[in-house]
Amino acid sequence: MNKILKRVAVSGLALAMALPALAGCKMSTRVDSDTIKIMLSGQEPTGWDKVVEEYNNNGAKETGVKISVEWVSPGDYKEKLNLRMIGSENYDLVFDAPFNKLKTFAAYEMYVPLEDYLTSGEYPNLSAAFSEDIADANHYFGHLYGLPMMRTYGNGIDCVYYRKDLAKKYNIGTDGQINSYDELQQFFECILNGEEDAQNMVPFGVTSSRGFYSLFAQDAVDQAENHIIRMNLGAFAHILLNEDNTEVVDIVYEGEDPSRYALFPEKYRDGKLLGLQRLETLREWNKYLERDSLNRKDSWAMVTGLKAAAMVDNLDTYEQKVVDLKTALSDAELGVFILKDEVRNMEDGARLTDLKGNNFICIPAWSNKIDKTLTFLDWLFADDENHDLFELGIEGVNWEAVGEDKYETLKVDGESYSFPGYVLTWNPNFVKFQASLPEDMYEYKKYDLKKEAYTESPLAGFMFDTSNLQTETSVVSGITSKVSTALEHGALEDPVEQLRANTAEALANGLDVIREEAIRQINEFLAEKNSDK
Amino acid sequence: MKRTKSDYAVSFVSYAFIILFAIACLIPLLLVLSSSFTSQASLNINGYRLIPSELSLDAYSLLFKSGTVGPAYGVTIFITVVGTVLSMLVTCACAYAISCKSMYYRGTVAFFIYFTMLFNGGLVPTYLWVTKYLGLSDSLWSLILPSLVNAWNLLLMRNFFNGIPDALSESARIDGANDMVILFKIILPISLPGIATVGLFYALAYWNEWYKALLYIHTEWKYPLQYLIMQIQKNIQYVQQNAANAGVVTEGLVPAETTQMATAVVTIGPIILLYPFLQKYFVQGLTVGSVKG
Repeated sequence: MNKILKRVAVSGLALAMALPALAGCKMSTRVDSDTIKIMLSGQEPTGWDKVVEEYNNNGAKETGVKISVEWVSPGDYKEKLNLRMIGSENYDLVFDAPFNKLKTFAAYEMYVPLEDYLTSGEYPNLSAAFSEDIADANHYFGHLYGLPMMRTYGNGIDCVYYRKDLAKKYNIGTDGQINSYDELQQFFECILNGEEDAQNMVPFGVTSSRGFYSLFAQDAVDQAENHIIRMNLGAFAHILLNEDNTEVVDIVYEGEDPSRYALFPEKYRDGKLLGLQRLETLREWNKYLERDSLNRKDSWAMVTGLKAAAMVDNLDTYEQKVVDLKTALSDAELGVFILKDEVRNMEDGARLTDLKGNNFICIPAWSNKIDKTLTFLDWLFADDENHDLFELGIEGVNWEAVGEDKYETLKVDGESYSFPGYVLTWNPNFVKFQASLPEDMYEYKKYDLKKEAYTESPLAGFMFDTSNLQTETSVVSGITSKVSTALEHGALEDPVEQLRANTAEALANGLDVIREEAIRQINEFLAEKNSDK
Repeated sequence: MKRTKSDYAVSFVSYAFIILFAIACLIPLLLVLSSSFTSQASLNINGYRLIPSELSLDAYSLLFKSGTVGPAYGVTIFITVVGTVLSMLVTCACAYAISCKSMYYRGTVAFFIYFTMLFNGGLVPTYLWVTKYLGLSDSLWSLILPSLVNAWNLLLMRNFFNGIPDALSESARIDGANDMVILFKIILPISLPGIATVGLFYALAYWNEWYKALLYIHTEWKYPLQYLIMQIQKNIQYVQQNAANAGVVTEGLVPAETTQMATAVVTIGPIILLYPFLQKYFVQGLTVGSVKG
């Protein structure tokens, strides 16, 4: 009797445990055949449901494709994407990026190569939105494994944000407008010696990871005109190409002996314009930083916390910074110093671009709805109306047009629709600006969009594949990281000597091997590129 | 015995030290509490203070705004209660079995359990097992079943049972009791210290569970508290970094750090109340098996 009871109890328990499992099975297969499943990184925008509803009710009539979108918080995204791709889960479109898993999944061909779809003529709007040069420049391992989401061809306009009210107080520049590094230094000196110092304010706030960042950046355009490209090949190196950019002449790492620059054009041979001068200057400017700059996480919080008079960033965050600073101190005024003269004067070709996107949308290789997914994307990039539905929300509810290319955000119950465009909608052909932008900032942002504002790098499209050099790259990065961050803060005495010693150590421990492989890969890339022509 | 001056001195020094130590432990908690009730701007400018220079409920209103904290509390309480009960049931049953001298291969079974403490399948196979084969994706059971038995807790429980004299279960068996009866009527009632200790370990683990939610749960209302709080935190950072990308300007400074403090206050609440109730069992539970006789 007891035995029977026990058996009943055991099988009952087993059943109880299996039930939820069965329920789980049922739930995962509910997507119907006309619905594509999309996974995006970001916080679900307020009012997102209405946008999807609007599309599924109206847009879907044209495309015959409905969408179901899952938002995953950006901090968890990489891990979730990894597991779901390895589990071959049924997603039809996912966000990925080189800083996530794109390189790995592309290497294992886990995404659908899209280049043939773009040239097939079946998706004319996609072909128009992702032009051939952009498609070519974003290949990984020989194929276009995702559509690059990019609004401009570069990474924003680098600038220093500073307290213009303080600059006015010290009569710096023209009515507080700083237009040169000299004026910036005058401003810093005034803060360092003025009453702000007594209030614990330092001239310049920097973050641990970036240091001085784009300050005194090397002139990439000038270098490219002289056939020199700066690139991270294990450590930062200058690649010297021949006159017609078809072959590598030499690769020299920053910090190598100056005699290595013998083949470079005259003005570069002492290495000063190739980074060494910058290191000396950063060392000199280190006095404008707080002592503990290597531990600082958020430099903008230093400015809003009245602990710093300036910080470096790019123009993309201008609107937010104006509001933040006003909140922190109502008398404060935000100034912008655009670092590069040619950019400040909005000249053509002022910045170098490799046309590479930082963010991609990809179709998993096992998706059985590739055509449906591309049809949806083709609809999305067909015109402003479709595009803006996702990027800006429902017109008249979430935003209203102001003039031709501006918009004003409308609030619904005090909340605005905020869509992270880089996960699905960014494209240089479809850009609208906030109506509240001041005229000069609007002009700069428009300038940022123009393709003519950039010079195309001769190595656009090249990707350094380090998969055969895992040991060397990890050893070398272990060595270079000993000084690289500190140098970016100007925190080391004799920076050039420090870099020399560090580079010598790296060269002896694998950097030389990496150089050989880099020369081989770049030559291979250039040969292929020129055979296409 | 009369206390000498030096006795008093020793007591004084000891008490003074303990009081200072307690204060040192309390101050960070108080800092968390006070900074959760101030505004981000004032925190940026004045730094952390025991008495906030400006009172503000921004952080809490941001935390409770979405209305998801309530359901998340429900989920956490559910997995903590159900999870702990199920875990204790399975753990005690298994621990009892391998503590019975009459069971064949109990050493081998114990070894297999011990083995999982040293080696496991790793993240990806576990993920595939739970989502593909057990089909627990996006189910609350995915937060309970994979951690139903903790090998360490099981061995702790077995050691506890080992300390109970065999004579007890033998005499019960002579009176006609079967194993179920012996376990539930004889062994468990005298094992309360062990049950309280191991139960608390389980309860804490379930209460603090967030990683499994990251892996298996997709629907927001099924998020347990800790994971939801993490999401809110991450979203704040994200809003700070990406406001410009989204083309939207947020008004006023995002209360990033103050919210962090508020979340700490919200999450430690209930579980901290468990300790005083279970404290009396603790010392007994942890010293189990140290003295035999």
